[in-house]
Amino acid sequence: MDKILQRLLHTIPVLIGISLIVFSLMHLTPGDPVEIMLGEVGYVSQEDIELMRAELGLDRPLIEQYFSFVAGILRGDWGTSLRARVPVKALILERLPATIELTIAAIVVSLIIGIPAGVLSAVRRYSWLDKLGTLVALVGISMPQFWLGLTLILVFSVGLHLLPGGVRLAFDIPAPPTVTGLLLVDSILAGNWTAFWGTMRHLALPALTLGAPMSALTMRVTRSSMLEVIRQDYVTFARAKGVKEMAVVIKHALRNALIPIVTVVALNMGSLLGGNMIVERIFSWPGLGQLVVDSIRTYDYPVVQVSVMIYALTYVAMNLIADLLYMRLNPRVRI
Amino acid sequence: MGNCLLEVKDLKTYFNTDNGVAKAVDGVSFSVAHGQAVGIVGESGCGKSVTARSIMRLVDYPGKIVGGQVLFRGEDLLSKSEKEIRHVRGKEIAMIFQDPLSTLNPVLTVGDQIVEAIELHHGGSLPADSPLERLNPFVRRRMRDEAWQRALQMMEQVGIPAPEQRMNEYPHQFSGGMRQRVMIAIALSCSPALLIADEPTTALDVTVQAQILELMKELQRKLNMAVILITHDLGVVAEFCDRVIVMYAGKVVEAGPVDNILFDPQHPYTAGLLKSIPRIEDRHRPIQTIPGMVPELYNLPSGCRFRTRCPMADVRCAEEDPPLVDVSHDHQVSCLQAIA
Amino acid sequence: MDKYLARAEEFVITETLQQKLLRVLRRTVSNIQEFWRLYRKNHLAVIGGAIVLAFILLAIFAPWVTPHDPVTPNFRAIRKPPVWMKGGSWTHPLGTDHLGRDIWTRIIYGARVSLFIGFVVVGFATVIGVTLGLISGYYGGKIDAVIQRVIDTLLAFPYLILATALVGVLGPGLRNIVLALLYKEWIYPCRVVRSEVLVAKEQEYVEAARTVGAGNRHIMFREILPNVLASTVVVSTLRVGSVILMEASLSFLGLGVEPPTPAWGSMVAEGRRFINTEWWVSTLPGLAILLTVLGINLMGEGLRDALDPKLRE
Ligand SMILES: Nc1ncnc2c1ncn2[C@@H]1O[C@H](COP(=O)(O)OP(=O)(O)OP(=O)(O)O)[C@@H](O)[C@H]1O
Ligand SMILES: [Mg+2]
Repeated sequence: MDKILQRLLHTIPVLIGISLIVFSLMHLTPGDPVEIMLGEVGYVSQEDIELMRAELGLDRPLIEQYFSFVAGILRGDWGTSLRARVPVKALILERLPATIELTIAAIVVSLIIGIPAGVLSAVRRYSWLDKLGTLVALVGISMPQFWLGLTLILVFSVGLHLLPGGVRLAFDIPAPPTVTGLLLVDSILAGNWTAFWGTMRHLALPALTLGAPMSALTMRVTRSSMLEVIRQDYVTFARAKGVKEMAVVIKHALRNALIPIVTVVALNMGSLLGGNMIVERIFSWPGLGQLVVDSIRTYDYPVVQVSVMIYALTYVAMNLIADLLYMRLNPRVRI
Repeated sequence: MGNCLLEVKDLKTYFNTDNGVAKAVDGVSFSVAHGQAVGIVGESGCGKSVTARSIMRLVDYPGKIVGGQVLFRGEDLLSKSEKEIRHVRGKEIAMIFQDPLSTLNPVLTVGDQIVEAIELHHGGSLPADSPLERLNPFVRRRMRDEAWQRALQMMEQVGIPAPEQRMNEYPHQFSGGMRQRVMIAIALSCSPALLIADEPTTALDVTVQAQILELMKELQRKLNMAVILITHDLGVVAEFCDRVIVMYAGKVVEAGPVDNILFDPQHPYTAGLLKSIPRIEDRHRPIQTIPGMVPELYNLPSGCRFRTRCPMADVRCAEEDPPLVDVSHDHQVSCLQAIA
Repeated sequence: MDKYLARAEEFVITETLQQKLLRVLRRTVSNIQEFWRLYRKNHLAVIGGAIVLAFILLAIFAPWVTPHDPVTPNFRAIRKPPVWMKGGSWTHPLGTDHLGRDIWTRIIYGARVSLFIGFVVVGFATVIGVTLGLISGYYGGKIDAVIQRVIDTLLAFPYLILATALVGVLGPGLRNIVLALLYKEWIYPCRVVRSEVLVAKEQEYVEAARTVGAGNRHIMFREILPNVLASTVVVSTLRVGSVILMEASLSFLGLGVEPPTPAWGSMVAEGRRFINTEWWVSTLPGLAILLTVLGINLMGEGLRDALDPKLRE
């Protein structure tokens, strides 16, 4: 229990740091942010500028601005979009489910591909399978995600007409009533299997694209972690007991290898979250990533600030979960 | 040799390394009778552990058993299938290692690790159920309970206090001596006919060492089990073993009854090993060590491997690889000088 | 210890400057030979190095390698396919885009942007990161705590998101892209150096230097730094690949160098509209990114194996 508490306390300076960075985003603009924002619209009067400055609180001292920014975030008052003139919260909540669904799917994909591939590669070390696997994984982390996405569309959608190359669900399939916003869950709740299957098909390529670098990374970590574990005495001892090879690998080796895998995967979650922007754009996925890019392009600072913060908080939360998982997996630090 | 349990014939295990082929075990032969305790001694790196692992076919890449036979109850283990060898491992031949902390799986409870061994081989006494019956959850449950009971018995037998409670603990919660007891409990849970103990006490305190050896001796007698004990400690050998095998650079240089080896060594290397033991009676003399270094296994001298460090070596030793020949009843030595 | 004694000898034995230079030169040459012997064993690393070198040379000598101009449209050669397809020709070996610009030409000019940003960002980041890492690891205490909290915070921001947001507020342009990437990039060398310093600090040669009365700065930069250099080189090399990918992503999102300057990411983004018909317009520049980054990563792994055996898995 102490350890969890300690870990939570550890995140406090990070949370403060995040709020500072997010807050300062608007103030990094060379020149006057308001003029830049309004400059987008075309002609504006001095009066308009003053008005907007007041609305954003830019006329107050910096310290005061920061605290009211943090207070607003904590209260759930995330400001108003300058472009859409609706609360930022509504905008974000509307986009969030699509991104969550895609991200979870990508994580699942990367674990399903990465862990078995890494285990296989380690067990068959020095075989051509291992060499090929390692090279493919290296290609995986060297590949620009947008290129992978386009290539997949080119092959599977344009070429083979096998899988859809965009949006969450085809327009001719009636979407299930929104409960969670996650289409897979909603279609199960509604018992709508056509929509479920359709969603799965639409998820396939984006999830694969988003998960690809992560699966390559997972594969590499799994492989090296397994290689480390496999030469430990307890693995030989398990074999000496007469344990089947399969059980030696999974029960004795992988259980131990998972401990470092969890940490490394969590630490690299940032690349998966960042990939959202790219993948959502390529696959016209109506999620948070697209919202960020559009807001940046249109200088819609309130939206940018909050969504960037959501990404950072997600990363922190995922690492917290990973740490708890680490403690569960490792009896030596178990609480 | 009707009494022979294990016979190793001309065993060869080589390692392919960047520097060349390391002949870690190069034509080792010896035999172990039912219930006998055989010691293997020799300097670090001479191939004791590799020999032990080769017997159970546990040599990992880049090592490979390239020749010889390991006859266990007359059957060659080296030509058995992977599945057949699995039924020998743990059930017929068990093995314990030097460092009990690294040998026990850190993420499984001690109880789970003992139970696993018992369940694998039906604990020797559990009914051999048909595979179909084993899928039945009730049968499984019963088997698991029985295995658990048997594990408890084993924990008691190896002298672990409060076994009920300790079964659910993890290896890191045990002391070194207790861990070694757990390992012995796992190894002996299926009453093997042969136990291979690779330096079982090296990592332990002196007092704990004595306790563990005592325990092993007691269990050996009780189970009428043969033991191969690998050690650096000739004192342990004197106390524990019936026979001794002396290895040098991947070969057996001398083998014989423990008294012959300790009191009438024929090979200069054995003699050197004995001289390097500090003795109370000649405290005033400095400890003698064998001069020189163990040769690198991928770059061995011609002829006798020991000649570069041997005080008695002459030209013949560089030309001829000495064979292992009988010098007296049951006592073999591989040295041209000793035979002459 | 040996190392320190060797250094002590340097003080005792008085040698002429010429002798000393000669000795250092000889040692350097033999170090390089030894390095090359180890590096050469890894064939993939050699191939990777060759790819990177090829791209660097093409980027530098771009105007001599191709007769075309990367930005001027040529409406007489619109949407020509690559040479191996029907209708392709050697005039435009990789085809042309919707404005008739030669893809091959744009790729090698695009290499300039990618490689420039990759090396410049990592170069600055290494200087900053190594310095802060040395300070953080060597002094420990409060300054270490502060630097580590800053790193933890920056780690929480997905790299691409932070970079995009920063380019968004700073405005586009080469300089701002470099700044936006530097914002986070320095933490990678910093973390590596710090953990290496923590190990090195406990080593005998540092102890020895301290007992002889060497100052902190001398110990940090003259004793410890040379020992952490190997892993720094390895990490920085691998980081160049990541930075190139980041830059490509930024340009793909329309936040890279301003058009019409060719950059690989924006070429893919522009060509995306024609994916159904002229697929080469977008996929070939992407392939160039893949090849470059793969080359760098292969090289980095080769360097790791050759320079720093203990980093090997
Ligand atoms: N994984 C390996 N790779 C390469 N060579 C190995 C490997 N394992 C063992 N060897 C070689 O086999 C030789 C014998 O090793 P072994 O472990 O059997 O020695 P040992 O007699 O048990 O020594 P110790 O008393 O230190 O346990 C070593 O000297 C080494 O050269
Ligand atoms: Mg050994």
